Amino acid sequence: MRISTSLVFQTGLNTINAQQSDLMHLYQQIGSGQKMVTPSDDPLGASQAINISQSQAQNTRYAGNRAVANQNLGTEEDALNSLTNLLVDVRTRLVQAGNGTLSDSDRQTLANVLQNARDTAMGIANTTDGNGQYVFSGSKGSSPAFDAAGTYLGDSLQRNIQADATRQIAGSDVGSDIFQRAQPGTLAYTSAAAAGNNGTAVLGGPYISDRTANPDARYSYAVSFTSATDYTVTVTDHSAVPPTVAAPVNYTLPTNATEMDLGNGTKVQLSGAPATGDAFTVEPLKTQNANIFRTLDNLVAALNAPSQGDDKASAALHNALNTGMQQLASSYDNVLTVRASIGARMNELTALNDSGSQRGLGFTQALSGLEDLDYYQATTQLNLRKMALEGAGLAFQTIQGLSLFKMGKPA
Amino acid sequence: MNLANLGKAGLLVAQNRLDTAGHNINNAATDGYSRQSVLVQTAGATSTSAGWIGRGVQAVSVQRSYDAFLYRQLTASQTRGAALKSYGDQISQVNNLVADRTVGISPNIQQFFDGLDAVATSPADVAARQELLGRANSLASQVRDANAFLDSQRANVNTQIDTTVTQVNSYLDRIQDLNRQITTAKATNPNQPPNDLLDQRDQLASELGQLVNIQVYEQDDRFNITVGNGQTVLGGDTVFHLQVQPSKADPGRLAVNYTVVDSTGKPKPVEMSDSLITGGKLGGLLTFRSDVLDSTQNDLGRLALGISMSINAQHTQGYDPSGAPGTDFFTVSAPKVIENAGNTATTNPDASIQDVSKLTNQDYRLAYDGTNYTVTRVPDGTALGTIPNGGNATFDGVTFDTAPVAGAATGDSWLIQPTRAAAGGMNVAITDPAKIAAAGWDATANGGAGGPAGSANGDNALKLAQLRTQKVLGGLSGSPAGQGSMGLNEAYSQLVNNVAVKTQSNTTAQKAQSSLIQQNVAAQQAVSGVNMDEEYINLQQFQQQYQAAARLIDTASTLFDTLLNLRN
Repeated sequence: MRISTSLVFQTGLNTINAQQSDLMHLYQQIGSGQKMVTPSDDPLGASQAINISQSQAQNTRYAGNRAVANQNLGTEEDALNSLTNLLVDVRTRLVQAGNGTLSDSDRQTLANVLQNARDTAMGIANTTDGNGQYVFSGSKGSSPAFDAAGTYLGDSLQRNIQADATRQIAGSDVGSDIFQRAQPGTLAYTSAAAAGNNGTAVLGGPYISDRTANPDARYSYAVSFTSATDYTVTVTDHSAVPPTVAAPVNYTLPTNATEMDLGNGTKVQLSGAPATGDAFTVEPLKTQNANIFRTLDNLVAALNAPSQGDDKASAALHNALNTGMQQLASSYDNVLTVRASIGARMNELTALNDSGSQRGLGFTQALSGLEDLDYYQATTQLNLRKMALEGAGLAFQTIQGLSLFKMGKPA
Repeated sequence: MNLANLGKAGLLVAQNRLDTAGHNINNAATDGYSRQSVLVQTAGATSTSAGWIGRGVQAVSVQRSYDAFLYRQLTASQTRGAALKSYGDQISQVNNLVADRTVGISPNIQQFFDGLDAVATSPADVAARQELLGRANSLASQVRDANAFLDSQRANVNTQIDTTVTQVNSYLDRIQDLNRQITTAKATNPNQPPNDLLDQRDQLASELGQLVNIQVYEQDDRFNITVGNGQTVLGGDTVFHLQVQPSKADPGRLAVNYTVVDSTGKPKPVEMSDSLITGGKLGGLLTFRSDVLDSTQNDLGRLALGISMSINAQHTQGYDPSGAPGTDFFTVSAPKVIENAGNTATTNPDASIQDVSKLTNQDYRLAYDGTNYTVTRVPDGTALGTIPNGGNATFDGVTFDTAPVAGAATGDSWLIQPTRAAAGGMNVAITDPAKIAAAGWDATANGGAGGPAGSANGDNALKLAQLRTQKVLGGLSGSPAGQGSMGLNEAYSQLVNNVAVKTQSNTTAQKAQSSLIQQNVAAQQAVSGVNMDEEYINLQQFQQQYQAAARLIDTASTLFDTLLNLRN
């Protein structure tokens, strides 16, 4: 076969070009540390890398979200911790206030203490975060949770945070759930005396004596004394919508009674002597607006009222103190419930953080497998290509040196 | 004296051969040159009683070593090689555009959604809102930049089509000129081939073949050339120049036109379908335009629409901190309706996007047949259905409304591009961070009547952020509205994958083709190429022949002298 001279040159050029472009590609790979210089080097790998890097970015973002959630819940937990301590303190004081040896002025001092406690609780309720947003006002971050009268101004929306691809965690709790809610699921009752009672009867410790007759604290009771020993009870059934009111039922107190039967499996402790016309209410906590501020306000007012040496006023005070203590006990339990839920959420965040960083490692590894260059392989290739290029150059020089025209001139 | 004549004939032939070898050496590096050699034969013999005495040698012709089959094979492989190369040159630019996943659209999509997540997490944080707007703007500008790049490449392709067609025409003129020279040469010397002119013409035809796929038919020593599926561009002694004109269906796109002579004898341009022009640089450019540029730009537009419309749809469900309902977050360009240049209708139909999840990366042709409009996908050609005159229908998530059309005549058509311009028109509609509607609806507000949630509520922003992974695009035609098969980021990675796969397969094809070309060159050169060593040996041989022939004359002269000396 005839090899044309121009083909020798052209082939030499092509070979060297091909070797050089291979070298160039290796050079780009080594320079960038990446297997893929352009997506066409590995189309599937390139699109996978894009998708994995999005998952990675998302994972990183969720870690950021969790940090914010953790911080928000931390702020909330701090506030509620103070609130818990405050409620413990208030309840101790109330026990103190029940002591019959206190004078009116002693009670006024206690009233001042409770007033201060109320102000502190109000401060806690209107805690703000780093952005000046009120923490406990639901979605209405720019308005305080409670006004001075203790009315809730916020709404019932928790602030959800995307903590993971499929998990939204509430980064806040709403003030109404903390400051004016009875402990969820409570079957406790509170008792209260009507203003203007003339007897010395003090009601305390209502409880459900028969679970089958009153399975879920669905009844509330209005007691009215028709004589010192006879009373009628009007039962309202809250399980129906709207609540149904039954006809009054008459009862008579046994002698030396310490308990009063309200019917429907509910009893309340009784001390002192009721007078005709006295009225009491016994209501389940879950139907009440257990507003901490109202409770404290009522207690302050009761403590401020003079009762020294007045049996009637003293009974009113004790009734009020009982009501307040029953309500505060429930509020206290409620705050603990909320704190437990905050703790559970913070735990979950920690768990999500762990799995998130595990996933992050997985993504980094997958990306590295797709994109990162194996330097050992690349440098070996580099040496090989270098040799090939030198060989091609040498071969070309040798072949084109072998010309008859160079070896001798025509004779 | 026969011996002297023999010497003279030998000298002449040796001289012819030496000249030809010299010509070969001179043109060893000339493109398209075919090695020449002198065809010789014995000059016959004289009958004598002793037998036939040879009369020596004579040159019959100079012939070129040329194999039409090898030449055609080489030309055809080069035509395909040139197409692959021009396609590859263009697509590698798009490939480079999407090369680095750490810059450009993909990280901006991620950052935008990160921004939404930040707002969802701290809805009242003005800094987070401001940053979200910044990221949204950055995303929109990246999408616009990518689109602008594709636009500029489209302009570049248009320019190259124009230049290439000018070159094609110039080659046609030069081949026509050589046709004339060759017929003249043949007329002057009917029995001898004008080898060098033939080589030149072959070379021009081969170079023309690298611009566009041509078919060459040789007739009466002339080359007749056709392109496409038989459109004559050089026939007889006439050149029918190709022309570049805006396409009738889409004036933004340059189309190649061939020339026909109409009934009145005037030349008239006729638009050629891009698919007819396959090989050569021009074929590569046109294939790139329809295969890569259109689909990539449509994919990008669809991504822009996917982002904008899904975000807008969710954003308008939310409420800003002042309680006002959300407005559109992004603006995008509406589908483009392009009327055919030959339409009689005075107004155009409307097209609007009804379901972004069903959008394809196709364009649509709406054609009127006198009673109905038929809708066809472009370029894949699927017929989607018909719309009665004045009615409307939805195909592939796009509603085509023919009610606004006035004065339509049979044969009128429109090209509808739902996605093409979308990326170029993507902008952020919101400038005030306080207009970001992060809050959701509070059903319990206002005593159960419901109302916008407060400023610390990020419910809507959470839903917006969740669009990051929702399948908002690529729905099948039967699937429920809004249910796609691709997330936004996946839509982008699919775009990258499409470009990369095409680039890769082109690179592979180009490598295979170039080794095929090399083989064909080697085969063709084995016949037609000049080997210097061979010419060197020829020189030696013919020099010796010359010297020997000279010796014959010398001998004849000596013999003659011998006879003359007899008288002394």
